[in-house]
Amino acid sequence: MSASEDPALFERRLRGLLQQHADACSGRVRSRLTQARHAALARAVEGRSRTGRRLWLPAAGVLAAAAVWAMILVPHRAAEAPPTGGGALVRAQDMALLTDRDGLALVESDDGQFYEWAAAQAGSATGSAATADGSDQNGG
Amino acid sequence: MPAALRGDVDRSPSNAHTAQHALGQFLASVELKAFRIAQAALRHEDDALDAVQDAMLQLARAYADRPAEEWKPLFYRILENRIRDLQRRRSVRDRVMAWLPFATDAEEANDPIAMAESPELPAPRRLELDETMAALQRALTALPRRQQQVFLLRTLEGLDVAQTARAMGCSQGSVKTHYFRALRALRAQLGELI
Repeated sequence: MSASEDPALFERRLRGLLQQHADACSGRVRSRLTQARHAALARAVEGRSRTGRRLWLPAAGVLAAAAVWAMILVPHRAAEAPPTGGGALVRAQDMALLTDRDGLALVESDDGQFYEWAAAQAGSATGSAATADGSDQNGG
Repeated sequence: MPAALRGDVDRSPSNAHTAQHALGQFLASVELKAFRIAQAALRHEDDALDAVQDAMLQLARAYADRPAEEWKPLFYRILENRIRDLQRRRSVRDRVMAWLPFATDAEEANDPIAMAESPELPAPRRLELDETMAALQRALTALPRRQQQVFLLRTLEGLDVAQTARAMGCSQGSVKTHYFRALRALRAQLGELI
């Protein structure tokens, strides 16, 4: 059976013929195709590294923004805060008062005698001071 | 099996190297056939080389990270677009050049490197092949462009119907119709010769 009668055989022969023809390219064509291939591969490497850089860019941007944010905010917060040394002293005094059992016992005790005494002491101190002032004036 | 051929996208250096190697192998496997397909459509060696080179660069630049299975239809789709662009540009150029008294490719035609054929085939066999190929080229040239491209993609490149449809940007039904008509026309013209 000839190729013109058998479609499959005709197809096979055509394929073989075209393949032979493709393989029989000139040296110039082969050389140019090889150059083109190398250029394309170089372009692929370039593209890949550019893609890598693109992936790092958002992370780098976020880090940079965080750094700028910190640089702007930290000095302001430091200015608003109480002085470090004084703040520590105040906090220490508060703690001393809170942990002072005697003081707490006085405050918490229901015994008003102490307060009456303290008020009397304060009043007598004022009176004696006034007397002293008057005696001074009288004496002067 | 390399990651690139499985379709994974991994950008570690070793995998990038493997993908690069796979892409190089792919381009080497299609370049001669792609050139012949472009040459059949453009009927000009340098234009065909330009089209193939552009298709290679475009594939490498934009689609190198795609799974390797997708490369072939993508590559031929790009090539098809480049062929169409070149045909359009050439028709404009030809209209302009027709008015000019120079513009000849005689210098290129006499280039010994351009004329050097592959030494793989013995002279008588090459002569026979040349005659048959000349007849085949005439028959292919006489085909409508879509039939010609479908026929070459299916027969020379071995794309299946779905891949050819993707490469040509048409339906699978169109591919089947174009291929059948091309084959029928070629059989009518070359049946006795092949």
